[in-house]
Amino acid sequence: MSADVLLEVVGVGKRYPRVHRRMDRVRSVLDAILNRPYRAHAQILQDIDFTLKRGESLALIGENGAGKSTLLRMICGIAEPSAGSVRLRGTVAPLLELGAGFHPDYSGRDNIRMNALLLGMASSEIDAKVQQVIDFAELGDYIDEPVKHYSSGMKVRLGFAVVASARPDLLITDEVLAVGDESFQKKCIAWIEEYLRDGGTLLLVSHSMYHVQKLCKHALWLHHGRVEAYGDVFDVSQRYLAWHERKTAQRRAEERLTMATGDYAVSAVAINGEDRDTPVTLPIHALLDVDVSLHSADGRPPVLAVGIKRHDGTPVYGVSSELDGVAPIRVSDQSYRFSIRYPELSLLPGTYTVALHAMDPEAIRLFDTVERTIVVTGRSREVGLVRLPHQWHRA
Amino acid sequence: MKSTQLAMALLGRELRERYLSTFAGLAWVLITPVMLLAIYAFVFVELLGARFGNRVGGDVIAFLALGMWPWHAFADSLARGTSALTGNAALIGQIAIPRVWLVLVPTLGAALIHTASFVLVLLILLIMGRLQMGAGAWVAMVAYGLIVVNAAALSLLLAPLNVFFRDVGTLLPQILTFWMLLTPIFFDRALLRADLGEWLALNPMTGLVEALRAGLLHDQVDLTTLYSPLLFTLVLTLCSVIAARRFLARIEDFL
Repeated sequence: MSADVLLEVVGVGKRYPRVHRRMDRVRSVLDAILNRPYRAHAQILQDIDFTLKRGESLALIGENGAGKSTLLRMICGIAEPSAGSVRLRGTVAPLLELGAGFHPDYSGRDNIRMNALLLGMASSEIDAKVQQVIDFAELGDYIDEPVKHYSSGMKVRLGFAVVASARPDLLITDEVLAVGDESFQKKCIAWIEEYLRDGGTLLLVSHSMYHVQKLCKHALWLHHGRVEAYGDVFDVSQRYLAWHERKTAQRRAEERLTMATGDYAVSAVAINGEDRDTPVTLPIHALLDVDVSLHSADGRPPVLAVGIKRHDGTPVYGVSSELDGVAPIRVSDQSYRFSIRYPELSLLPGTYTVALHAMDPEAIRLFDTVERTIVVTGRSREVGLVRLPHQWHRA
Repeated sequence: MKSTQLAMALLGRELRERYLSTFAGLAWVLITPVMLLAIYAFVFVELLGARFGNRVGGDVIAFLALGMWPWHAFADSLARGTSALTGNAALIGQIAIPRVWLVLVPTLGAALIHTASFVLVLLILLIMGRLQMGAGAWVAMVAYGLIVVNAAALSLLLAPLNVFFRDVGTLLPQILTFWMLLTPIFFDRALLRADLGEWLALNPMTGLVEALRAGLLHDQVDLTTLYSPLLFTLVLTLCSVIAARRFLARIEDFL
């Protein structure tokens, strides 16, 4: 481990024993007593490798249950790795859970002392810094009240203030910044930025990509307990967000099929090839292609109605396959597809909604609606919604 | 140095917690033994007219007190130590705190309170002229120290086992009651049938309680009575430390 490396995580894995059934518990305890791997277990983390040099900032991102908190707990020394090793060369201050380590019956002042001791501070150092902590936490007279009377935001403020006073080599935070009020969040972020400028090292867990990209230079994406991506914060966080959007769109489509009120539902939509539920940007007079897949429970070909409206809800134009006498393309027994093209979209610059409605074959009942946003860009001082073809005549 | 400060702070908190929200606070350490001595005197001497051999009246109280206080120190310390990890499950999952202290702090905290109480009882008995403070007092002190060490060692062994199987904590009060009845607290082993007395000598607490009593009541200095309890304490402590090193690393998996 070279001198500038503060944290080295090598081949780390974590297994938790299954203990709900009596015999599984007996087996697991026996494994623990004999110091061997658990036979009945849940694998939470596997093959985690990364290093953190002094002065670096790393974000751990991933879905809930990906193993982020477990990894942090092993780095902090709360949990033992089942495989691999965690080597830390320096002091660490974790902010893992709201009010962690605070005794509810003791005052904020008493808890400052105990928390600071747990962070490895000496009594003399604590005495010198108590007032600084109280000032940072902005708790006023509440500092002498029992912590059980504190709000969640007050607990975070006190916890952060103690950690800030400790000036650790490695600061670890796990979503706790999401709890405090906005002004204290700003104060904490400003403190972390200063801490990083002064050579501090940060390990941050957050679902806020704003905080991740603002505070960290590197990111590690954990997926199902394994490293999915590790590198530059923008590359990794954008890959994660793209995956997340795909997953959300897929889930929504599945939910739509199961939640649609009747037999016909919109199962997929692509605007100019973009199948995610994100705004599609196109210049004025551009081509607009809308591809729609419809689900038909009874197998009969449904009708598609397409409407375009301004973002405030003002209708612009609507048409249906029944009006135009167009039949869908049959994809399978219960699946049909429509494609509609607007070759030269004459919408003026602005934000619009494309609404897709699934209707029965008789075009009487509307069963399902999906909406997508399009943003038309361009330079124009014209007024209204659409550019109407026109000619000026000089008498 | 910092570790010592943390251990002392945890111990201070443990002591405060026991009397937090009580009106008398730490004064209970003094009130309890005086009250208990008065109750023993009333029940055993006045109501039951108890006698152990040729011991009557105040001698009976002294005999009982020198057995019961060390036993309570042992039993309460062990009970608190055994439940320390399950009782602090949330804390163990939140912060990195040396787990061995989580066990030893409540154990030693309880021992400290009982010791303070015991010292007061000894003072009262001394004033009553029931004790002899000679060289035998040193033997008694060693015996008492070994009782506390045994409680700490057993706590280190049982606390993680209680995490693995909560049955340990459920069974412990029954076991302690049975163990107390096998220890010469309410009886004098010399007055029992010889073979029964020999069997009871296998109980390590028997030797310790008797050495303590002999030292304080008769100023008896017979170090040989401490040999087997000392050996037992050493073996138990060694086994507990080895087991605790292995078990404590895994307890978070079971909490």
